[in-house]
This record gives sequence, C-alpha cells and structure tokens, in this order.
Amino acid sequence: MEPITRKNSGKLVWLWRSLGSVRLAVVLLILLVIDLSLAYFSINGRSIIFEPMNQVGIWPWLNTYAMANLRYTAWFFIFLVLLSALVLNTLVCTTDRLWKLLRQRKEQKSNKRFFFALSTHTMHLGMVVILIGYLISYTMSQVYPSLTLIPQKETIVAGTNLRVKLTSMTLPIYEGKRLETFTGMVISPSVQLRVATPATERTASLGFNNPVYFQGYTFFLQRFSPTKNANMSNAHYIVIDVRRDPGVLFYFVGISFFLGGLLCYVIFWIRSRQPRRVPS
Amino acid sequence: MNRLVKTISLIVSVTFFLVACDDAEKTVKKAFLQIGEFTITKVNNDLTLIRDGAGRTLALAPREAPTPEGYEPHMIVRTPVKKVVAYGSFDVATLRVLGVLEETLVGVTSPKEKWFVDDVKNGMESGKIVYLGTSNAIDFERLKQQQPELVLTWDPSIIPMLNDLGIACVITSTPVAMCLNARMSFVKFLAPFFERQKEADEFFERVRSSLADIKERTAGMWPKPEVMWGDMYEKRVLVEPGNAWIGELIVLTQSGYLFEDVYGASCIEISMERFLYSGKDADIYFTYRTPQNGATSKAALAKLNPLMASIKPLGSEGKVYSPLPHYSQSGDKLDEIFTELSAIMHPDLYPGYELRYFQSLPETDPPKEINLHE
Repeated sequence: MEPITRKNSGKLVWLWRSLGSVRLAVVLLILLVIDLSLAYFSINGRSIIFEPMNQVGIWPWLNTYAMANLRYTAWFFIFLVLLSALVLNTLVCTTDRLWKLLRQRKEQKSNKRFFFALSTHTMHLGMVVILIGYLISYTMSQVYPSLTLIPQKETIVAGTNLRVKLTSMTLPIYEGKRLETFTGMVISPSVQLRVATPATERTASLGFNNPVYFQGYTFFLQRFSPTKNANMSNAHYIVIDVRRDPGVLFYFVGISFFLGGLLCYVIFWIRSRQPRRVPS
Repeated sequence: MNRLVKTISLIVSVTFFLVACDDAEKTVKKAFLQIGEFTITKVNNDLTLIRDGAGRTLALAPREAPTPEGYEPHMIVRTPVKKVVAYGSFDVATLRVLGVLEETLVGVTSPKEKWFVDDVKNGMESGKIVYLGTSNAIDFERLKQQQPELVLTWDPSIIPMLNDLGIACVITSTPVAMCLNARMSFVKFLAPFFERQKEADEFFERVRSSLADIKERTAGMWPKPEVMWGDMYEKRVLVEPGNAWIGELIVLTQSGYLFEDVYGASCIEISMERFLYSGKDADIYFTYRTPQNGATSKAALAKLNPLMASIKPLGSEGKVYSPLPHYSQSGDKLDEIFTELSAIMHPDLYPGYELRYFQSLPETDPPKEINLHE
C-alpha cells in the first residue's frame, strides 16, 4: 500500500473538500431535478413496471423488471447514482463542518450560536439516516405478498411460524350523500385479525391506514371483497401483505433527528431575532 | 476544437449507452418476461418462477426435477400439468390455443348448455370434464374427485380451500384491466405450465400480424368514428376503461374511444351522467348484453333503460353492436375478433365482410308472427 506522503495527503484533502462542496450539492440537485423530470414521463401509465419493487426488493427488481424495460427505467439507475452521490456529499459536508464546529466549541462562549449551527447538521444527518433506512427497506425486507384470508380460517404465513386468522369482517356501506359515486359501496371494511406464534398471540383491528404490528412483522390490508352492495361476486375475503422491514427503525431515528434539528433551528432563529436587553 | 471533442465524446457515450441498454434488455428478456402484471422468470432448467395476477409467486418444476426448496407444496407446480380446472372462458380458450384442452381440462364452472366450444361439450358428454357448480358455489368434493394439479381462476377466495387440498392455484385476472399486449401475450404466461412455448409463440405471431394488417389498412383514416363500450344496468353503469385491450384496440384502428381517460379494472363502474354525456358524441356503441340478454334491437335496449335512449348510437344516425353468445369463448380467435372490430369501425376497408362475433342491432324488433289458428 502506498504510504501517505505530503503530496498524497494534499490530494486526499482536495478530494475530501470536493466531495463535501456546496457547489457539488447544487449540481447534484439540478441533475436530480432533470432526472426526475424524465422519470415523470417514464412512469406515466407504466406503474406495473415499478410497483413490484415494493414486493421483490431492489436488487431482484433491478435484475428483472428494470433490465427488461430499460428505456423506461434508465432514469432510476441514474437516480440511484445521483442519490448515492448526494448522500456522500451530505455526509462529508456534515462531518467536515461538525468537526470544525466541535473544535471551535471551546473558543465559543455563546451556546446559542453553537446549537443554531448544530441544528442544521442534525437535520442533514437525519436525512442521510432516512435514506439509509430506505436502502435497508428495499434490500433487506422480507415480504410475503398477497395472502388471501377468508373468515374463521387460519392460514400459515409461508416460511415463518406465524398463523393468521380473519376473526371478523363487517362491511359498512357508505351512507353519506356527499360522495355520490360511493353510494352502495364499502369504502373501508372493519376487520379483526388474530396473529399468533406458538408462544404468543394478538388480536387487532386492521385497516388500509391502520396496519397491525406483531413480533417485528407488519400486516397491511391490500384489498377486500365484496366492495359493493350488489356485487357480482359475493365471496368474502381480504388480501394482506406481510412484511418484516428492518428499515423502519432507521426512518424513526432519522425523522427524530430531523425534527429535533428543525425544532432547535426554529427556537434559536426566533431567539436570535429578539432584541437584546440593554442593562439599565 | 476542445468543445468539438467534448460534443463528439458525449454523442459516442450516449449512443454506446443506448446500444448497451438495448443489448441488456434483449439478454434479460430471454430469462424474464413481463406480461402486464404477470411475470415468468426462468431461474434454471429445473425451476421457473411465475407471478400470477394476484402477485403470488409459484414455482414450476419439471416432473423429473428435484423439489424446489423454500416453497410450500401448494406453491409448486409440476410440469407439464396433466389435469387442470378453469373458471374463465378465456382461460379455456388459451388451453385450446396451446393444444392441451382435450387432454388436460377436467373441470369448468359453466354448465354444458352454455358452452359453444366443441372440445368442452364433448368432454362434458363423455364425463371427462365436469361441471363444478357456479363460480360462487363450487362443489369442492367434486373438485377433489377430479384430482386437478392446477386451478385457473379469477376468484382469490378459493385459495385457502385449495391450499388445504394441496392444489396449486393461479389467479388469471388482474386488479387493473389487461392491456392489448397482455391480452395477446397471456398465452405465453400459461405456456410454461404445459411446456407449450412453441404453440404460444405461433399464436402470438398470428395475432401480431393481424394487428399489423389492421394498422396498415386503417392508417390515415378520417373521420375517426367515436366509439363507446359498456352498458347501463338497473343500478350500475359499467364500461371498458381506456387502459383495457378493447380501448387500446379501438384507438389502434384509427377510431376515437370515448372512455380513453377512464383507468382501472375491466368492466369498471362510472357515473350515469358520464355515460350519457359521452353517448351524445358516439357513432358506434358496443353493449355487453347478448341478444339472449335483451339486446335484440335499439328499441329493445331503450325499453330496458329509457335513459339510454338519449345516446346518439341508439338514434337513426348511430350503430349498436351486441356480442354473439360464443364471442366470450372465442379467445383463441383473437386475430379474427380484432379484424372484425376493425371492419366494424371502417366497413369501407373490408368490403363484403360478414360479422361472426358481433351483430348489428336493427332499429326495432321484427314484428312477432301471430298464429291465427290459436
């Protein structure tokens, strides 16, 4: 391995500074806007190419759906590269500035200025953690898609020791008058789900925006039947997706960082605008 | 000079990228095929993964191959499949295209008198093919007796029961209507189950060439007839959305489809106002009703639903077409159906064409003969 000489270290410093430069961030953001504008036209009406990414994960999706439809998915490959570069840029920039800030901490007498500066970096770090969470979700999630449940029949989630049972299902018909299109239709069913492992069990309500959490697994309602008062099919069933997503924790940590930073920023910004009291 | 070099290298890079994309696409398409929401992934000679219309993954393995690991027994299908039950008439038609209907079909959900396909009628007469009850009241005992290895259905509610019986099930419908390409290629999705890829390719090629012919014949046709496809029932109005194969085909035949902006499942519900509003501009109207269901004349349709009388095709200026009873079972004649639809849109381009799958409705029903002797 080549020893670090003064010449080499100069190159490294230059590389480090370039990676964390604001100019690079601006260029990357402009390129992202251009790429996402292309994405608008590529996705439009072709959601069936992109939707399976949620179920199969990013690497299998890139190897199959994306590669088979490159003219519509090329933007996504570019997007991944640009986003990775932006994460690297944010990380280097934040590390660099945080380091400087911490070194100057001893010399600074004002806590207000320190925390004000720190808050922006906390928000940046929060964003990086959220993006890492997304990467983990799309690479490491276990998804058990489209599990059909009929009332009172227990089903085993293949590949796990989970048992799921649809214990009750009521279908309230929309009776309002404001949304005429939904007259005679079920907008949201009332579903009770019992999930169990050999050791423990839980019964909970399941809805479209109300997933059930159990032992690290999340149960999402995908669709249900019948959806209408006078439906052609009278079959009663729900279809659920079961996911085990280790990225969720990162979202919460990232969002907490971001909100903490934002709160700090707002508080110190307001305080910095208040006129100083002059001692009488 | 420097700028010129940069421009040339940019053009070369972009060209190289596009060529590489095209090559990569072709390579991947050999192992992975997407047909609407269905997919086929050939992992190796002993394992092919398929994703059905409900998003479930099934493993196809030749009979002599080792059992694929990581799949429940009811998610493994041994190929070629020897016994199959089919709910939908399009699935049955697809089996016919693949040339396996006679030897593999053992159960259907329509009684014998509703079938127009000779192979099915003969099979039911001989007792090889069994009527299993209507789709919402299947006789599972009978189904079990038939010992199918695979059930092709649009109804996910039977999956838990079939899992218990250890029978593999494939959902052949999708939450969003099949586009034209998916409708034509669906045969390629079922082909690996029966190891009949060659037959599937031949059928696809036949339908593709009929489309090419339609495109060539109708190129530049003007004015474009405005078309609507759907029906008004007592409480509901159902139409074919613009993303469905019907909507796409109508546009391809140089015609205007009045529900092109509607997106969703086949037979999607829309408001009555929208149906009537579009009906004012329509030249041709396709009803879902067959003559047996009351579509015998324009006057008969207007009598069934007086509000519908206001749409233009029901007047003297427009045309109304009704599918003949065997139309829904003729999925193996997609090329002929496409051509017939094109001939309906542009009769001048198809002189002497005789309709086989649709009938043009007269203004009124012919007067009933009164038997004076009674």
